[in-house]
Amino acid sequence: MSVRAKAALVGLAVSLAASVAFAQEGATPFDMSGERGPTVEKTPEQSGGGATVKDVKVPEKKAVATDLGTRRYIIPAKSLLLEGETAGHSFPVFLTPQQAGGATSISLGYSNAVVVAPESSRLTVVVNDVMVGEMPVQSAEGTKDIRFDLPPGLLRPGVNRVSFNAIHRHRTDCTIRSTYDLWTALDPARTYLTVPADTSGRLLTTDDIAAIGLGPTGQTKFVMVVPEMGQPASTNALMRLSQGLALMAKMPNQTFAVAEALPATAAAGELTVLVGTAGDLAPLLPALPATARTSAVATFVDAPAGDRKVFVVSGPDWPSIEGAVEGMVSPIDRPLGVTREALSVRQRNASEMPLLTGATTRTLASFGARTSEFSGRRFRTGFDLGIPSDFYADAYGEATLLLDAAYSPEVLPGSHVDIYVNGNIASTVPITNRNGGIFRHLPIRVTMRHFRPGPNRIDIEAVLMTQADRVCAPGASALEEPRFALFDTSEFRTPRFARIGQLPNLSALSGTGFPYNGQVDPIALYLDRLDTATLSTGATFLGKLAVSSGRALQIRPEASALAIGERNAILIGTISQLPPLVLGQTHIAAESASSWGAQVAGEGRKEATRETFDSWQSRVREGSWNGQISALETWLQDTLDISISSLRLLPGDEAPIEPPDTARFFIAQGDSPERTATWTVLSAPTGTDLEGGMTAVAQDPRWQQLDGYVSLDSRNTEALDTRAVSRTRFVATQPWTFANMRLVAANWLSSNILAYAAVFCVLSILLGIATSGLLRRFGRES
Amino acid sequence: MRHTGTIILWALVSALVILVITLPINLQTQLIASIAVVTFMAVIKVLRAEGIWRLIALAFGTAVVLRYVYWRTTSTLPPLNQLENFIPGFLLYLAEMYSVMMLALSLFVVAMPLPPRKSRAAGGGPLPSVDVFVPSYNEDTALLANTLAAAKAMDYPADKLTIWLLDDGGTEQKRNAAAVIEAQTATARHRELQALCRDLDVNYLTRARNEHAKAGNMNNGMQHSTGELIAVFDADHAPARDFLRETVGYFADDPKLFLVQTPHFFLNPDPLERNLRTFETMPSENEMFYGIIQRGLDKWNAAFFCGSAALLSRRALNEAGGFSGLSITEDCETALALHSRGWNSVYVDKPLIAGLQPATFASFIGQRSRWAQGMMQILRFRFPLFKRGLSLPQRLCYMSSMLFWLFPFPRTIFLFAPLFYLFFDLEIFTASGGEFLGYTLAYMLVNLMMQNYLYGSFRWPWISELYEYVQSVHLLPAVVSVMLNPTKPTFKVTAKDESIKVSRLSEISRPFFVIFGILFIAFLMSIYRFYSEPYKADVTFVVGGWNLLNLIIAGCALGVVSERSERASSRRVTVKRRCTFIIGEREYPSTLENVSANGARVQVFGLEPDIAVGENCFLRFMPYGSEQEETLPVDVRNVENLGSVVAVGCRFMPQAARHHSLVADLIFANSNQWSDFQVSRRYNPGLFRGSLWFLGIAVYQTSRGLLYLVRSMRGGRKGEAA
Repeated sequence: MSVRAKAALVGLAVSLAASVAFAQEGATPFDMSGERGPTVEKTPEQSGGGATVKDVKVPEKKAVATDLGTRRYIIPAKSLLLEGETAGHSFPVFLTPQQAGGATSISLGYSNAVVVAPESSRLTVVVNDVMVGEMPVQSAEGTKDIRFDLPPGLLRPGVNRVSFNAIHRHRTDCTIRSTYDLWTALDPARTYLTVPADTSGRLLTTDDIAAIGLGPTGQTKFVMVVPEMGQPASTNALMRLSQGLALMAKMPNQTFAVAEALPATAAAGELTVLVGTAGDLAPLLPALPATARTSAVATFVDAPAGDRKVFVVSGPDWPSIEGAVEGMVSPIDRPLGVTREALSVRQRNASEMPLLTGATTRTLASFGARTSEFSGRRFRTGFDLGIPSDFYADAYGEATLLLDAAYSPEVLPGSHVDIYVNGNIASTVPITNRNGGIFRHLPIRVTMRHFRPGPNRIDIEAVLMTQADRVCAPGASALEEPRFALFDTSEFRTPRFARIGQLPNLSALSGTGFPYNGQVDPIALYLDRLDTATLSTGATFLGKLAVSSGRALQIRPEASALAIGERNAILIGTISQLPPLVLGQTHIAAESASSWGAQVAGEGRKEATRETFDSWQSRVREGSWNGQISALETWLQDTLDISISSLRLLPGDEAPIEPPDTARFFIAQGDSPERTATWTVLSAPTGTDLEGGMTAVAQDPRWQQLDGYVSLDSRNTEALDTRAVSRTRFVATQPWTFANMRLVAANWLSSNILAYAAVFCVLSILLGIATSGLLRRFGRES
Repeated sequence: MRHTGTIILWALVSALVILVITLPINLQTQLIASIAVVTFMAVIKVLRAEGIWRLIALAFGTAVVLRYVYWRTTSTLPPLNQLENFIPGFLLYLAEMYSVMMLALSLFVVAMPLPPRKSRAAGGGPLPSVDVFVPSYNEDTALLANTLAAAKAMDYPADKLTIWLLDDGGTEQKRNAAAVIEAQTATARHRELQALCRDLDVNYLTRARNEHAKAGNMNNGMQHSTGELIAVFDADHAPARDFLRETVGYFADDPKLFLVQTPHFFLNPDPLERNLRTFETMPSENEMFYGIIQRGLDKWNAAFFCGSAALLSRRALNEAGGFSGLSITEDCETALALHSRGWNSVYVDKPLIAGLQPATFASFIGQRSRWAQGMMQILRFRFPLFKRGLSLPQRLCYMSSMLFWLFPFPRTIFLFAPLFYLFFDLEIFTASGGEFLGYTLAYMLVNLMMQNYLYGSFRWPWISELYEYVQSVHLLPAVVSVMLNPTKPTFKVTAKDESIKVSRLSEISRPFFVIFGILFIAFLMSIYRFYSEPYKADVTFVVGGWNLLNLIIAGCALGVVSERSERASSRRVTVKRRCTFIIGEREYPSTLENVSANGARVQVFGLEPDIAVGENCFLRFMPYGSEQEETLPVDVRNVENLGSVVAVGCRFMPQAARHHSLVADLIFANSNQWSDFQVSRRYNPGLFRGSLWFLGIAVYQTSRGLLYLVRSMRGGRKGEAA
């Protein structure tokens, strides 16, 4: 008991010290405008040494546009949950030199689950590896705002890393289950760095475009004002510029909106870009530099209204504008033939992701994971890695995690360490010793089945059971004695894996821009009409593609889809405008050109009938002969991971897709008619759906879901509806080597299971015959 | 090269197979491929497809085994930094790889064995002169009398046939031994055998010193004889009349022939057969060797000399300097030497001699220890793989024969490997339950199916494992000792004429009970752990099952070392032969029912069943190859009235040497009766039925072994009390 009392005393001292800091903060006026969260009444906190946090009564919408510029939002999402007993997230924040020098504090708004025990749960804020704030998690009744001062000089111009780490303990429960009830939610709209209004986060030079930042819901938006968007000449410049801007900003949820008129205001995370000849822009922009009439210009100028800057790319004519665009793009572009060591996708932990292209062994430390000790029940940590687009080892591949870890004697057998790949369980290591133990480079085989091209997340989760947790005495959930330690000397080893391009493959498209990322010839770009919706969609899509590819892609606009021929192409348009040839090549049913989006009453009924049928089928499953077979299939699936449909000799054909009416947008990929090039089609029933759908898919979580040969986005659900590829076209991406082809064969045979059995049997029979021939000729005659 | 195309084609197909086998496919694919292969093999087996299908089935099996080897090598070894797991894990791995290598070698040997050669009655043309050597050390006179008489009775021109009794028990060294009893015994034996030989009209030969054991004895015989061919019969191996007729002809066919070997057929059961009572129903252990393996070796011109029942060329032996005596298995060593000098051998798959094998478990183990140690010596001194002059197939064949005797090592490892997990919680084989199903189980099934396919009617399921286990316990130290000290072992003659009068535990049975006890505790442990540690129940299930298999075999072995008493000191041979039973002056027509070395049972027609036991009578019958009937004195041991006939059990009372020949004629003259007996036991019960049958035997023998143990402990206590 005395020990616990002592701990409480220490805690009191800490909170007293903290209270001093908070009290000082209270002097600076709290910005409370523009909050959209629920109105929450806060009462002064009575813990520790009195009121420490300035309680805020959030007013109803009282947005003041100018003030918004003073916030640099941090979280690129609508919401952020820190779940479990230990959780952390890091975010990159790009600051201009002025912003870095001027930012003084970091604010966050959070709420947490009721069951989180405040006395043993902590939320910490770390900026550039310096802890700037720590507090008990105690905002169960609503969102609470807190502000921490930043030491001067902590923020740097360029990328800064902001991390939020939470440690949660349950108030009463000690079960593993209970750890899933623990969470802290950070409100992205109330979590930001405050930049003084005078330096305001204004962007002054081209380099500052990277500091475009986020809106309160994690959005980044480039508003492209193009008065002459209907001119075919403008398309190329516009698309190249979009890619250049995307590569500069590299924000996870960035979209482009092409507009004719200059919007009056720009919200946080928005940048207005004017593109056009000097003659066209002059009416919109009085501040247009005069030099634009004679030579190319790419610069920030004052907006006609409001206290803000807009970016202008202009020149006397379109060729000169194109020159200006290339001038911007070329310094950040990656020349062809230069391979990447890492993927510059920083959405998860603010560090670059190493790209694993073959046999590699890396320590966890090099992935950015840290040695950690843990005293709770469910420990979870992880790291990110990049996988190349021609990864072809999903069926057979196995990586190895060489685990360095330790567990204390109180950990009971039956505990386990699980490895997850992109959220799918990939391996389980049971803990079987009773008296504690140390794993020294314990090899854990991790199936590569859930790996996908582009960014991948590996999580290590330790589920620890102890006698103390079974008893669960009061306060037991908060004991500090570490039970488990994970050392960053653990290594993740990938073997050399099969590499060959597979098409169609939307996951490779979203991951690394394959097959467009490395091509020498320009990509044919077909836009069915040059209007706001189609151009916005194209710009957004190419922007995403550029970031995935790590380079700005060369494009060549085509007026006719039929003129594309055997070239890699991107085709964007409403479904009714796309030629049947294009739909056919991408496995979209021809009828959908007329039927999709046109509400037919019968559709819904048909759907309902099918659902009823399915439910009946599952109800009458037992007993019938059919049921026996499906029970067998379930058993095979559950225990051995074999489905009847995977028992195939050769892959079948893709079924033509008729987009359901719930879908509003799709990205589909198929071969060109001669099967030598790849066409990617973006389509929707209407222009609005096209732009809206692309904007939705441009959100990083959804972009990462792109997969198969068709991915359908619907208004109502978060998840994309993806259809797996069955007939793949292989494209060599690596020099032909025997070793690689062997692995490719291994993967192909592992996904066409019966084919392997057939090859195995046929070769065995041949061997038997050959041996018989040999034996007849040698030795004594029978 | 004549067959370059075939070789290239085969190499190409093999390379493709290896390529496919070493693809790192996933578990699901492996599982489906395993199921496909096992089904395919089962169909081939059920259809009893032969010819090319035999090799296809073997190719299937080989592919699955190789796949297992690839997987076992690449993904199941414990990590090197866990030495406590790695060392036993690696030993287990080596043991498995040894088994796979032996499988490969035996597949090579028996992939396409030569079919049995057609029977040939040598005639026409000049016959070579033959010396028959019967080396003896300590066998008794009656046994030698039968053998010598049978040898003398062989169908061959008398002027070309010389029989030699090579007596090493009556050498000058023995007769002049310092120990007086030994010297007296040797002198008496010397005299007695000389007399016997005189009576049988055969030559007696002994020598000054017992140098180089059996090989030295036979080399001495060679110096005193001149025949072109030399037939060798062990003292208890009596030849049939047609032995020379069936074998001599091959030497005329091939001037470079040095050996015609024939199988050893045994009249009595070995201890395992006797104690498990399988002699009448199940093929003997050596039938696998003589029925298949020697035929397979013969295909590659590598059939080797087995010490007896063989005909050798003097010219060849002279070239090699006689019989080699470096190792204690002079027979195989001699064959190896002659093969490497370019001489050929032939194997005739027809039993032409009948002999005895060790009756007690201890002498059985003694015999096997000699073979194992001898083979290890040859391996050490004449390493066949690099022996110059041998063809590649011959090298592989000899390696197969020698390396076989390393089996005590893997057998011991397989026995104890599960205990590492059950008692010490070590993980020496890293695999999941699914992998075990897809790889290990498929491998084991395919292995059993291949064994059954190759040896099915000669070797029933699990019998090999049982034989290996019962030998391993005592052979392991023997093999280790010969490895450490290769020149130490000396030739010990195996005793074959013992008999067991009282049921008892073998004198070397204790380790079997200790091992059984340990395995039984491990079995209980596996049950306990299965329930107390549900999170690794799958591993416990697999390891516990493995231990249970060991326990079943170890339990069966308890029966093997529990010696049953045997009534008949000599085994009876069923014969059907007309004769005349003479009692006093009256003669009755009769039929010989069965005979043994000591007596016969005769069905007599018209005899009153009131004759007295011990009465002197005569049997008159026509010996093979004789023109006239002869009479053999017998006395009556028992009489049984069977209604129409009276069965009379009688004992032979040989008074003259000729009588020994008559007894030999009754028992040994007709070699067909042995073939018939062997064929009657040869059928394949199949994997499933065979396994069930074995399980039944094992359960019964375990209880019998434990019963004997309890009885012996009681007896021991009584003895102490007394």
